Amino acid sequence: MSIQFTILIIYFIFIIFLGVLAVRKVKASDDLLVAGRNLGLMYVSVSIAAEYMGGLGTIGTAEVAFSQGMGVIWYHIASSFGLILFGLAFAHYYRKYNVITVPEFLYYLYDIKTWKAASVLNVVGYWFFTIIQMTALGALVTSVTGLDLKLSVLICGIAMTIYLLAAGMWSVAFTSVAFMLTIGTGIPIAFWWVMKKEIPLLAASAGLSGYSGLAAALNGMGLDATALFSPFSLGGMAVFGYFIGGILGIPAAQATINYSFGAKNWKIARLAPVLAAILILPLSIWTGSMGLFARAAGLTNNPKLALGATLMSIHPIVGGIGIAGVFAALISTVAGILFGCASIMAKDIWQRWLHPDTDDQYVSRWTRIWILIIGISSSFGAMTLPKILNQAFFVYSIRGALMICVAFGIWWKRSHPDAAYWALVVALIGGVMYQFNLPVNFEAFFKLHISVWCTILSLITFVFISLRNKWTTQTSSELPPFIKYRKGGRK
Amino acid sequence: MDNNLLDEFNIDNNKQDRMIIFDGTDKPFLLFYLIIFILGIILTLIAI
Repeated sequence: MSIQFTILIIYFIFIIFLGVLAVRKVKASDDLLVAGRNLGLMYVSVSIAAEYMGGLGTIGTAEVAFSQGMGVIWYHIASSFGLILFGLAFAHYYRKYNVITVPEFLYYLYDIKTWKAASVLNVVGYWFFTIIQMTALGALVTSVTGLDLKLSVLICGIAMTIYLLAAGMWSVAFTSVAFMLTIGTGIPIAFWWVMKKEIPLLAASAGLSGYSGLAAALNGMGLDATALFSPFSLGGMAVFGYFIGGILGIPAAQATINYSFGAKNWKIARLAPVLAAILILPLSIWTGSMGLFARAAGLTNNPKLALGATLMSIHPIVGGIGIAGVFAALISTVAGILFGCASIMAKDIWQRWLHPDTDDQYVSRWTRIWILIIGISSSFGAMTLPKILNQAFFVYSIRGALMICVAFGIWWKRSHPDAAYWALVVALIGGVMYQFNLPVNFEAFFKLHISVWCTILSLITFVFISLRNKWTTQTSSELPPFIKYRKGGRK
Repeated sequence: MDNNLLDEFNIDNNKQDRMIIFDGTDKPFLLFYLIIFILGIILTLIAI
């Protein structure tokens, strides 16, 4: 058994223990779903940061740096911007409404049909996303342990489901502290080791350490180190795309923001994402540099393996700590998405929609049942459905539309429930057309990412219907009883 | 957003003046946060 494998096993057992330990905190369904709205500033910020740092932010940024250079640092700058935007402009609204889920917020802003549509789309999207992220997690475990991919996925999936079953959001909050500690120390320590100890060992580095050694090594490989080190190595469009992703992808993303719903008060809900943004900011400097090291050292030809190859090639203990950091980033994201999916399924669809007259005990029971169903089914899905990776389009199509619904609902007085509903539907139809090239290849034709395309479609739909449809008595009769007084439009 | 609407059903609003961001339980976590933050900066600076 390798040292890296042993470190990972010990770490994994510790995490499950920590997650299960949180069970004493759970007495009612609110404890499971929003940690009894009792999370302090640090729990919320650390949970948001750990959830947001996932496979894309670690393995993905190293992959981009490997092939295109350090311009990838904009990924986390843009993500931090999105988190700060959510914190300062959105978080306190969610928290003041005492919501548990994002679709529930749309219920308050619009009407029942928008809430139902958003609930279903969120659950389907996150379910796909859980499977996709579990596949990435399994691939990392496989690369370190040599275990079969299916077995790795199953072990991780079941372990995660067990600790989420114990205490829901409390489990996520408890484990996030350990995850964040692992990410925040493991990855920079591995980075430091690579820059200080490994780079001088490369033949072409002339014994230099740090970026000067890395530059010499890259030049020695016949590459242009100056271009690869440039913060603009990816070009303006890619940076713009990162910012669009950060802005669209965070303020209405249940899995990332639901910890703010569990904050003790709205001030904590608002400040915590800003602190989380500071934590995630430097991540791509570390992972990107290690990705470039993989290239300079000729460790692999496959950019996707750049980070793993670097961590497996360095001192086994430092590499093991680094891998534990990446593992923590991935598992905290999968657990967050799985929990976000189960929350919406249990609270919005199962209880409020299908079984409205049920008691708290029933909600607690069914929250756990849905965590179990989604956790186990996603594990088996990740084992058997590798092609599901393409289904990420589903999430990309709806996230911009959800953001539009939330932002306009808060700030535009004319926002109409029909506009919100159709913005979601049109985004989904647009996403399906884009994904399956119906009737043209949209990517080649418009040169737009799927999320930008769907957002533009839903924005046009939203504005058009809102301007065309007036608020009437009929409109307000579709609203939940306690905000019925808004007849004739918003104040 | 109309704040009147929020007042309608928001139990937090009545307590806003008394809301605190840090309490005693946050102290160890503040330390934790600072350690991660400072460690990251130091390691990055000495590595480059």
